[in-house]
Amino acid sequence: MSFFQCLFWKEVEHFEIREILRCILHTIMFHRALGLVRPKDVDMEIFDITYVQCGDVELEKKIDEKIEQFICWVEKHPNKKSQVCLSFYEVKNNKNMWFSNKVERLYWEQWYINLNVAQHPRANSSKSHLSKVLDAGDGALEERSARRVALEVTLREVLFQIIKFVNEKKDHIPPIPGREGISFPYEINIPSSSDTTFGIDMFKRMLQTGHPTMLS
Amino acid sequence: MDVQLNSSSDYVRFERIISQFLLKALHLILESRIPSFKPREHSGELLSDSRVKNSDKWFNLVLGDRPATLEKLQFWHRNLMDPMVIDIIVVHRELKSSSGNDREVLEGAAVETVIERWIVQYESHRSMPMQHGDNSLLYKKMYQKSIVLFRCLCSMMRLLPAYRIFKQLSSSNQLCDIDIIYKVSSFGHPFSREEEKLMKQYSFNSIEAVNGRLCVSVSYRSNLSDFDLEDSASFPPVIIPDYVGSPATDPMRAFPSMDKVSRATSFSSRGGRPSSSMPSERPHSWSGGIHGAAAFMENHPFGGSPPVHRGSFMPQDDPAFQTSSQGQRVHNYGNPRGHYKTSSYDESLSPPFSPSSSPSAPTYFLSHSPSQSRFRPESAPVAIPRAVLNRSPRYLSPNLSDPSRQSLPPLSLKSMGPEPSSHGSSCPSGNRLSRKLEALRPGESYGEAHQSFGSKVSKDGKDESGRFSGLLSSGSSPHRAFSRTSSRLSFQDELDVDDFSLPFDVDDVDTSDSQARILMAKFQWIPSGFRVCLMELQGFVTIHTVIFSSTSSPDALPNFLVKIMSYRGGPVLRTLAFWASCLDYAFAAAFGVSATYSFRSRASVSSLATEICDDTWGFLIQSLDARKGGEFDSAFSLGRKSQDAAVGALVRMLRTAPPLRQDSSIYSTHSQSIQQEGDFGTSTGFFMPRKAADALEELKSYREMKDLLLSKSGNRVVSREDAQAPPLDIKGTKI
Repeated sequence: MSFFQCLFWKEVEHFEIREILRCILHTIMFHRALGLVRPKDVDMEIFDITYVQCGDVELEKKIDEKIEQFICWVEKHPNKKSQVCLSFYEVKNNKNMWFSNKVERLYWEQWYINLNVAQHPRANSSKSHLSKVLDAGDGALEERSARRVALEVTLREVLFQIIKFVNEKKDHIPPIPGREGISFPYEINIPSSSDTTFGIDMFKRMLQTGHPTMLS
Repeated sequence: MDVQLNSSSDYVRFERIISQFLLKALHLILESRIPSFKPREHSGELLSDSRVKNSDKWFNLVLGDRPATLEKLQFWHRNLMDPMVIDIIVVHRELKSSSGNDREVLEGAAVETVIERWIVQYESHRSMPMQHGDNSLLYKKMYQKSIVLFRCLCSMMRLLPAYRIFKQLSSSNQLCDIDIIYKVSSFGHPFSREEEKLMKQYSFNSIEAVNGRLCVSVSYRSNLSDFDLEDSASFPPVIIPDYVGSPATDPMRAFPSMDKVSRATSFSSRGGRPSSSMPSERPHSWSGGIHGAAAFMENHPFGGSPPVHRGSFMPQDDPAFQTSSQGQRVHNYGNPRGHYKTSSYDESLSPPFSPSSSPSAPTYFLSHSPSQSRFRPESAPVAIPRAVLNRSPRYLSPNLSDPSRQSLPPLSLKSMGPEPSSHGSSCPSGNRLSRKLEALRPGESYGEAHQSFGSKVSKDGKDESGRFSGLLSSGSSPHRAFSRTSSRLSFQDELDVDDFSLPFDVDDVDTSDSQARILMAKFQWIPSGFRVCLMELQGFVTIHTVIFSSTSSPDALPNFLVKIMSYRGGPVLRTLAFWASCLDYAFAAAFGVSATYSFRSRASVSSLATEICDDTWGFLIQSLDARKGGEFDSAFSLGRKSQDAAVGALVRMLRTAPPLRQDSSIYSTHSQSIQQEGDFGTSTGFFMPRKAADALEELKSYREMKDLLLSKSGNRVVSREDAQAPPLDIKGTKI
């Protein structure tokens, strides 16, 4: 059985993508890295939120790489709803296939993070948000602050939802192997160059893993 | 019916998991709520197995070493079925200062507010049907789900509102009027109706156990704005007499660390406060809960009996703790060196499903007296002495400083000179610069010199602790000697190269700062060198670069070209000009200004300039316009006043002077005079965009003037008649 989680998002700015994605992905991974971990607190820079990482250096690198790829994709494809998919799977050796020993992935959990990036992408996403704030006028500044507060509230709510879901659904989790850190194989999918390809990939995965349950 | 535990080992296993579950929950909750329980900062990376205790590997969540208090905590459960109630309490102390015995003591009533109540318990299902068979699978599932639950609990601890207070208390070094303590008991005092309205509930999904289920729930206050440290206005504003930046201090000194500043502030305003009995603790934090009680007991083993906690578990109910006297009981409880035979945390205990697990005898938690958890030590108040900021007298305001130093007011907030030693270090940089500039020859490309020079300037500036001194020195080459005919150059003698300190040692120009910074490089004549000072006043002028060229003649004076990129007012230029002119140097400095400027009568400022020149430094920048007898503002005619007054008057004049661009009439007069003098063929070029070629042309004209002045002994101000002399070419010959 697979569980689909769709986290709908508000409009985010480019410079917020990195922080938000990092927070959500690490939070999910912390709840799914069921091996021996030492929790690591991380204070977000743009929000007054502290989330927990599992402290795996390799995971941190991989997540940062994926986020950078995602940001590049977003900059190249403005005005498109984007999605990041974090999947956990089991590796099944399909021994029934005589002529091929294809390794089958059995996805037992998938998390979808939908993002609606702001319509006015910045030329340089690495600009500090402070400069952006200074550029805006007073009215825009208040609007930006209000939007920022709303975004923080939404992010908190999303984190609560993640914890709630993780807390409620435990039966589908495969047995935990006796290893440190990340215990289950995972993959992070970002939109590829073609939206169509990404949609097809997702559809295929849905067909493979059975009847999906859409939860919002 | 209960699940039959087939063997005692089964029961032992069951009890161990339950007890470790309770212990892990307690540790997890306290380490993210009580600042004193906060573990040392770590990268989060898992240490090698050898460094992680087996007891810490339970539920695959390494929290680090347990605090000593938790280690000594004897959590006694008469029955594992009893819930473990953990109250997180904010103690809000209403501080009132009172003096006594030459000490300021902060006293007040403490208001306790329960902001969170965690209930961790094992609920036994006596009505559950009997389950036969191996319970190993059940234990494994229970253990695995417990791992997931503790992940959720760990994240939830960071998301609940109370974490913010914990984070503020942990990071704040200031004295706070609130603190967080905890209380662990097996019974929670019911909330009042008002409190219940403010509380929200959240329950983690229970985990099915062998005979029941494991439950974790929390009641928490959603609104903790009353306890927000950042918004706390508990302490009245205090006037700090020697704040950083005041005239009595050295604004140029690096700001002390925030810790020191805040500490100084807090010390001066709050005086002493009751501190915990543990000297290792922060003096401004309440050692709350069991930790504080244990500390108190350590110092007062036969102290008074702890207050009776309302409705909480009382140790006297347990026959095991019946003692003859209250004090004895306290002693038994509180002596950290007491002989507790059974340790709560057996280091040999390891998680049941880990490869290194090994069976060990079960241990029982001995409950610490809940009343002690509420007992806060009332140690003697300790007066915290007022912090004395170490202010070196050398960093006093220039107005109060050694008159040998510059007396101009700090035109920038950071315009205090560094220690002479630091200046000594700046000299070599200037010397290096001058040696480099010696390589420059007249006629060198403006752009090239500009770039090389400008970069060097910035580099030198940054070498000096990031401060742009702009110190340009012609070095100690003796061939820089020049004839000095005026006694007003006595400041030169007062100076020692090694002792020279920049009076306006400024920070790097922060181009991102909307407010113009004050950047000043100092030009100064000294017998063995030449230092040039440029001053960029706020909003007036931005000195872009200085080009320093040398001449072949030993007696010749170096020319320097100052390119001013932008300006907003003429006063600085006027100031620079008349200062330079008043020095009566026998040289003609090439002063190329890519901006307009106007000059007024300079005669009236001679007295002021004299005073200024008598200072340890003076401006050498000269403009031919100034020497041509431009008129200066009458405000300069201050006469012989004190240096401070002169400096102040100068600053006022500079700030109130109208911008140059508005002063077109004066400029037209000036330009006419210039044209009359015929010295500046490119006078109109001052309004024109400056190019390298234009600047070179102007440089040439200045050189002509220089030669002319030199030829006329250089002492006398070039008169109008002289100025009307035919222009000279670059070689000084009449055209």
